[in-house]
Amino acid sequence: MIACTPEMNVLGVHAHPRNPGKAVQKLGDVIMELRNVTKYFPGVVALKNMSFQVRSGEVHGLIGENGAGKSTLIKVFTGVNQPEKGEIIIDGRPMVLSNPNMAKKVGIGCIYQELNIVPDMSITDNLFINQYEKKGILLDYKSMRKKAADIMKQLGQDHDVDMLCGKLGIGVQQMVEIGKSILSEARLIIMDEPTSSLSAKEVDQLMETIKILKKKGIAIVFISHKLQEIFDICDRVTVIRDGEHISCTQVSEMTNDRLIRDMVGRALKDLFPKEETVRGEEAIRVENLKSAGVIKDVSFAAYTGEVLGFAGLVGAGRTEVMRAIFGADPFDSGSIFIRGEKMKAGRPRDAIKRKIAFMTEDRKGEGLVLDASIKNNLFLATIDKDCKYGFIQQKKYERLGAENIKTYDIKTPSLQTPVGSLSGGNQQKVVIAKWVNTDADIYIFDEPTRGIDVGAKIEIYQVINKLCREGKCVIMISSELPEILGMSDRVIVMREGRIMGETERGDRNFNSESIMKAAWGGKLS
Amino acid sequence: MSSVNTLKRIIGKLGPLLALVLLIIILTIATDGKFISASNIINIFRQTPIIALMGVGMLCVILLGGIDLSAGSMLAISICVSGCVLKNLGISSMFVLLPVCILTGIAAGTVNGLLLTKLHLPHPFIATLGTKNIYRGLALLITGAAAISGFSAGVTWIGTARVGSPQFNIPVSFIMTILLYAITHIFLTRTGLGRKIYSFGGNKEAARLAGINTDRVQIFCYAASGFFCAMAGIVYVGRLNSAVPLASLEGDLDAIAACIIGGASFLGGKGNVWGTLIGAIMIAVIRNGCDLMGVSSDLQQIVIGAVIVLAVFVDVLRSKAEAKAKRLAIGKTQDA
Repeated sequence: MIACTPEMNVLGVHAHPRNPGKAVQKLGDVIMELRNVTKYFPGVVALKNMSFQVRSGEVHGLIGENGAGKSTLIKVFTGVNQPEKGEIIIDGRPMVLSNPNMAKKVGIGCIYQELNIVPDMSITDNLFINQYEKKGILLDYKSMRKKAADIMKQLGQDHDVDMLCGKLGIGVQQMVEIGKSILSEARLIIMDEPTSSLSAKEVDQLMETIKILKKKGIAIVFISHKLQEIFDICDRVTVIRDGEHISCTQVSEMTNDRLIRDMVGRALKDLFPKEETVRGEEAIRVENLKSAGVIKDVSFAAYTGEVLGFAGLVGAGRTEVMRAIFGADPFDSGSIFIRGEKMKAGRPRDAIKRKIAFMTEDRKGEGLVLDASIKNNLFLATIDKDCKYGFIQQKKYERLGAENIKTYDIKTPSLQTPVGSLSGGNQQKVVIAKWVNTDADIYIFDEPTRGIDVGAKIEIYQVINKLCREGKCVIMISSELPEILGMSDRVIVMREGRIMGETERGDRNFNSESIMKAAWGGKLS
Repeated sequence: MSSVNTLKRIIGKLGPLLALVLLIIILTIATDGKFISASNIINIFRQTPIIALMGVGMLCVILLGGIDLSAGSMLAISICVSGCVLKNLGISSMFVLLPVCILTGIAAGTVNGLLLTKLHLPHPFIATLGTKNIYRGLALLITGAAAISGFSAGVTWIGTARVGSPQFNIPVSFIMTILLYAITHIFLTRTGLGRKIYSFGGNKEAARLAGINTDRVQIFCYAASGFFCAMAGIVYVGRLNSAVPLASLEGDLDAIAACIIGGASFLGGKGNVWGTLIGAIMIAVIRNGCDLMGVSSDLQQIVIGAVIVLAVFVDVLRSKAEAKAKRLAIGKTQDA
């Protein structure tokens, strides 16, 4: 729990924040630092007293579970979010990064997972997208081309700089992004899961480039879900959990097991009010489900009275499997049996008819009509049932709505309040109530507690308990391991569209280390 | 504090109506009271229905987050088809011609909906831009680009008849418009299908995942737009006693303007029929007032254009204030 002790930063005096590129620095000096930074979002503390420092010329790994606060940390560095407490120290001086441009000025660049490349523009145009060079009033393409070629060469890339970026592979597009950072004289380049969409060869190329950048004295913050990469390329690694700094260690002194322990090791305490349940009959069985590129031969079964957890990293294909079952997306082949009866590939309304409920991970984008009232959202999935001769039964709505608000403890001034004005936790309760109102038997919850506060989380767990008691089948996708372990009776681990293994409460493997290992590509053993 | 808020809310809701009242007062003063005379009010009642009927059809589509550029062309094709039935088949009964007109409108609208949902054309702007041209072309083709006249009194009754005394009477078309508005209001706010339209407009994906048959909802709305255009067409035929293939060339734009002035959101999910009615009356009032004052038609266009921009700007201000209130409300629930 102790941060590595920073060498005293005496060189701050020499630094010129307004003229970052020319700051006098030695390799290995601390150039950028977050000190005791706290950042709140509605309902959650994203960063808690977080400290983090970067030295010139180092590759600093940043690792943590999904939702640990990595993205927020990046956003604080890049001026997208401003912390409520704490300091950002650049070259020894506290700075306020009030917008992304400011961060760019002091030499911070970021390569996001989603690249900001305009596919229909050339490499040169993309590199110089917001800092053209001009000759009089016209663009000086001659000079820009030359510089573009030079930068790409520095990055070990040999491409015609007039080529359209859309024709380049993702790996090369990423190089163009890195080139943009170099062009703006970045001294720190943050890479957010840069290898997640690269092929093995492209990953090698990226590693080479990182070494080149390192030699230039540029610091890299390297975020990855692949532990091996951390060990391969990083000098130091910082582990973040629940928005807090957990450890910062030289990679040479780090072990695989310790890294995982640091990432997940938290006491379950009373956060998870799991109840003992009795497993009933088979509710749903999936056989050889396939969908090109995302689902690779998935088979499993879920039973009434149990919670089946789906663990894995973001993008492991868990959501895709559930969307296929629910008919939200088509799939290529495979069979789905509901209560032993084969279900034809259908649409969401067919699935609802078969008493399946699906709470998506994106409650604002897919779960709620934000401008509509709570009442109308509560009965969104049951409009046909609630109508008599095509007319909505307002009285029934009022009565059931009031009951819903009481049952789920939705904190709202009235049923007419637009659901968009509720806090995240209360919005989520509306979504859950909406689905329970359909009187479904099989509940699929995709990240049911994402972005909501602890109190609301526990209330949602209570609903899951209640559903189990009533003999419903609950399938829960969660990227938070403690939640998976705390609430599931059985856990299936997925990775890259495949099921890596299955473990049951009480098993030897029913622990975070084993599940994490499987999620990262190991065996569930 | 709360009474101030309620007042604000009421003003917000009645915004378009207040604007209309203001406009009427200004025009009354500017025309020395001529504007508010019985005969002129009847004139406005006469001028409103066509825009209003097309407007309420357009509203159904705009509530989806869609748009129907073919509204004017649908009006033309509906009346021209019944004109052709009259001319080529010699059938003059209103019990044939009116249903033919209405069915043509519904069919044309249904085609728009099918193009959108079954051919998966990316945006209704494109689908209806295409059919706008197709329907207009068809109307010209089947009529040989000439107006068809000679409709029986039964057919023209809706567009011409009035109820009341000779001094003050109300056009039947206006009464019909109000009736259809009331029915549409009940439909949109009280029925399941109406609820689905708002839900779809508010969040397409949430609606689909809630098991709503989104294709059917969309097709219905475009068909409704066609229906209302045909109804507007019936009024039109009554007025001119002829089916003109070039009728209502800019009707769709007037209809869209009525919805927007009435507070409907282009993003869908927001808007109501009464706002649209006020929007339609507002356009009629501006036209009428300008005529009374002898303002040229080019200036009229400028005024209407300015009103549209102003109306939307006020709406933007309002939604900004709403968003702020929403944030404050979230803060409150979190403190609690």
